[in-house]
Amino acid sequence: MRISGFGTYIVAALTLVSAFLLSVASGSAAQETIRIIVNPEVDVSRLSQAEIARIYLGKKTFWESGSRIAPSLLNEKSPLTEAFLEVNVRKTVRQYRAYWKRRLFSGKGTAPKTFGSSKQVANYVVDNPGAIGVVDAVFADERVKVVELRN
Amino acid sequence: MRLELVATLVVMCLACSEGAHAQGLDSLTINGYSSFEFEKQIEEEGGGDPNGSFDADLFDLVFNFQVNDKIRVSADLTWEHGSATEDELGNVAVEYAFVEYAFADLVKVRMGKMFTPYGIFNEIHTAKPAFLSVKEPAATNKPERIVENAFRFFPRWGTGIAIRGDGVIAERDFNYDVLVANGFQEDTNPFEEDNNLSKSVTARFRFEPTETISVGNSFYYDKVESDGVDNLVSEGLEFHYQGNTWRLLAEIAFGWLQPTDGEKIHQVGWILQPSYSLDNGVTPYVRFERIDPNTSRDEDHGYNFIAGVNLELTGGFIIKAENNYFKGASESTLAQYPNASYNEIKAAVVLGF
Repeated sequence: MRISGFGTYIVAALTLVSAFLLSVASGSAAQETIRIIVNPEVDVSRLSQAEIARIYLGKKTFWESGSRIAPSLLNEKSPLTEAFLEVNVRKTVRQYRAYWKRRLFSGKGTAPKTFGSSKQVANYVVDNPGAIGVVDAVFADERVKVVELRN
Repeated sequence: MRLELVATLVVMCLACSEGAHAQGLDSLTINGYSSFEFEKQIEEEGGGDPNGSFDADLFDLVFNFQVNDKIRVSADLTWEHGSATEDELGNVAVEYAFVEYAFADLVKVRMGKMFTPYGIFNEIHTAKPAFLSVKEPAATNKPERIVENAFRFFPRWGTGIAIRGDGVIAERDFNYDVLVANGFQEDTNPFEEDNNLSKSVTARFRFEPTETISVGNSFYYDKVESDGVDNLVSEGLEFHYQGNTWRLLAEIAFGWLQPTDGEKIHQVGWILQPSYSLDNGVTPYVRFERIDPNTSRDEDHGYNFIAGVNLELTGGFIIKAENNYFKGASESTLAQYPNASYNEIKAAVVLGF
């Protein structure tokens, strides 16, 4: 079958719409499986989106108790990280990377630690007092505390 | 006297801080960046590079050591232009090296050598992965690159004590920096010895009224007393918009330089840089820059218009290519060239890690 002229535009438009809907669907699916966890010693059970953004952008580096926050997440290839950054930090992966390059090289601090798997993130959170991490819901086990998102 | 008191208090705080013992290597992070560049002036005459040259621009290592919850040590060591000190070529330098004590997010005290916290670009002017173009904007950061008789609005580095912090006002983010340093001078090493009693002061305040917009105001004062300059005052305004794809950077700097003899010189420089990021890592950008080195003189200003593309192949590996069109007014230093203008292409391969 040969498609030409106006038909080509319709096919192209439908392809773009399908791709967009697919990306939105996969993004929201990833968002649903995200859990934000902290070390049990951290005296926090709820955080707002703005507080989470400040933590992952290096603007908030201390818990209310005075202990240092040690943020962590999956590496940027992960759909979970992509969804987390877009929804909670309000940046694309590329913008987040560019932001941290500016901050790191100007001497303002280092980016959150990244890991290759949710299991590694969860282990890091368990091992480090003050740690916070972003994991797949499966790994939000009894060793850590799950933080609720406050409106 | 008050300065000495603050310095003494800060040193006492550091000395008394608990847990200031050595940490393991887990607390050390090493990052860095490198830039390899090529520049070629198109016309035969101009202020650029007529031969077309490769430039081993720089290789930097950035160290951060979190000594404990409160204390961080940070340093950026650079090797520029293929450093070979035995041949007196290139340079090896400490871009910054300081100790930072965090009382809280709102109050962090630094001591050492650091970038002057002025405007958008100065603190990243060597970090080529951190901005789109091959070079940082000239009109606000290195204006003599456009017209030779322009002066710097501020020195690039300062050695002294700084206070900085991040905070929240009405649920919107802000940050500030205040640096008291030896200031600009050429009589002595400004990172070791001041040539006068007066200290330079730099201050910057940034506010984010929305999640996509940041505005800022910078200020610099220095009693120079060297190189025929009595004092320098400058003030800058910055605007940053970051949408999903569009980004706009704008900055303007006003400078007032008082020579030892003669009238005060008022200089104005500004830049405007829109860019558009495509999904595949390609970001076309343009930048318009203008510098007027003396507002009381007519027709001595100059422009630089840049059109370029930034291609991020993988995270941190970037290729840049651009054309710089320099154009001067009839009384500018660019008037010595045909049509008071010239073009220079610049390209760079940059890695940040």
